[in-house]
Amino acid sequence: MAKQIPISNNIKTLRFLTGEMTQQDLAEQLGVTRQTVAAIEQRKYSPSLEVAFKISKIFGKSLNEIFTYEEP
Amino acid sequence: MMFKDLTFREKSALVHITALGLLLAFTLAQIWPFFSGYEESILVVKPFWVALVIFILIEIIGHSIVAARNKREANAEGDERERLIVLKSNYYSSHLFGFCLIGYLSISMLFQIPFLNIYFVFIIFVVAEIVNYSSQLILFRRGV
Repeated sequence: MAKQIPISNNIKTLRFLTGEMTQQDLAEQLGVTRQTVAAIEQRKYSPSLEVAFKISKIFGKSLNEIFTYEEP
Repeated sequence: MMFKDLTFREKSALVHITALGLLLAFTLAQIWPFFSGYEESILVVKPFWVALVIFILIEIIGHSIVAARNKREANAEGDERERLIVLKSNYYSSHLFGFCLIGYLSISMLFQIPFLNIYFVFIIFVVAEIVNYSSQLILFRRGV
């Protein structure tokens, strides 16, 4: 059973809206592996602040617009 | 879940688990006569070296095949998620290793066993390593 972190995100949608960016493209820009981007999207991994800010900068959105904390 | 669907790190962990599992099985088979009363058999060390050589060969061949099929991932450096997974797995296995070793030493002292049986220490180490790589595999699949 996959463990889900309490932080949801809309990275998949933002990727689609940003020229249908692939997970690999985003991973290369972030300096992480494609598996890590997939894990973040599937709420299996909570990224570090550094990666979160990089994601925010790439999509030109604030952290609050990308990540949402959901009470468990 | 098919083997080809796994990432390089997951396949690598599986190779480690397989090699360590075989080594553990061989070691247990070697010391089994010790429990049956044939204590002399534990003194035979030569097959143990053969098992270690086979273990190293499995590791080298297994990892070469996995790396050849996943060149890109094999050459990439681990990112923050992979480092966290390795750190967590090491934490679990080192605690298991320490707990079992101290437990074994305590039992040895308590029951006045005059020597530290290298086979038992080795088995504890191998089991701890199996737990380490199994934990990595689970954390890679399940999430950190």
